[in-house]
Amino acid sequence: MPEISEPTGGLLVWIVIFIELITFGIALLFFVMNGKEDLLGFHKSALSLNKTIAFMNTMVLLTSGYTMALSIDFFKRGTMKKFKSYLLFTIILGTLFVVLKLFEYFIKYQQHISLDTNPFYTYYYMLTAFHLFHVLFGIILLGYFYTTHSDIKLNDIEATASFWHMCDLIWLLIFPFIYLLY
Amino acid sequence: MKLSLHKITICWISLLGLTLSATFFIHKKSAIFFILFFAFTKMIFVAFQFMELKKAHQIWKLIFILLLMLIFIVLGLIF
Repeated sequence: MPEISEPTGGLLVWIVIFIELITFGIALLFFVMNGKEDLLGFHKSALSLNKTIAFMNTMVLLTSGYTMALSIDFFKRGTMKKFKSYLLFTIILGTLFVVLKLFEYFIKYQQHISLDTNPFYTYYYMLTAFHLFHVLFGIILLGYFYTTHSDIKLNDIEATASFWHMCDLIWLLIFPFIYLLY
Repeated sequence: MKLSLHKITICWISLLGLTLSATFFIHKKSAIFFILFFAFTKMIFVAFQFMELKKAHQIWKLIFILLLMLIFIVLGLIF
């Protein structure tokens, strides 16, 4: 029987990716079902969201995915200086995403909008904060590879890159439902 | 190797283009379809190009596409 080759990053990280997508998918399912019960409330709440920041964050995260992919490409070529440079760009962009997200939360805090304001905002905070934790964890992982002086194994950095791209995937999934459709 | 760099760059530009394009559909009648289709396409681009799923076995590609289709179709229909 022919062997089924593992995707880049390894089996374990891809199992995590599938589980995460299913988890966020189910959470969005409940979000949409709740939205059907209170369409006007969801519409009003969605209008109060800052779409400009959300679009900027999407661009930032997609660009960080691009620099991550370039970083891996340079690692494979053995161009370690460029690998580290693009890894640093990725960390900076990831940090920018976190700063923008926290700024968005701060605006909501000033408007006295919190987790228990209404069901829309409960889902908004739960989904975006859970995603934000993934981004923070990804930044820590990337930071480790940027600062380490020991030899980096291709499989390890590819697994980390896959985790980082998973943050892209989750954001691309939740972004239209929370910010655009209602 | 240079070719792969070009492909990654084209993919990134396409992703940004699709994100910007979604803004034109926000207030259109067919917004739901286009916004979800763009999101689905972007996720496929990220997985296949950035995450190199294109190099994986067919079964992985199939499982990933089917899972995404399931998520988007179910959410789109309920919405």
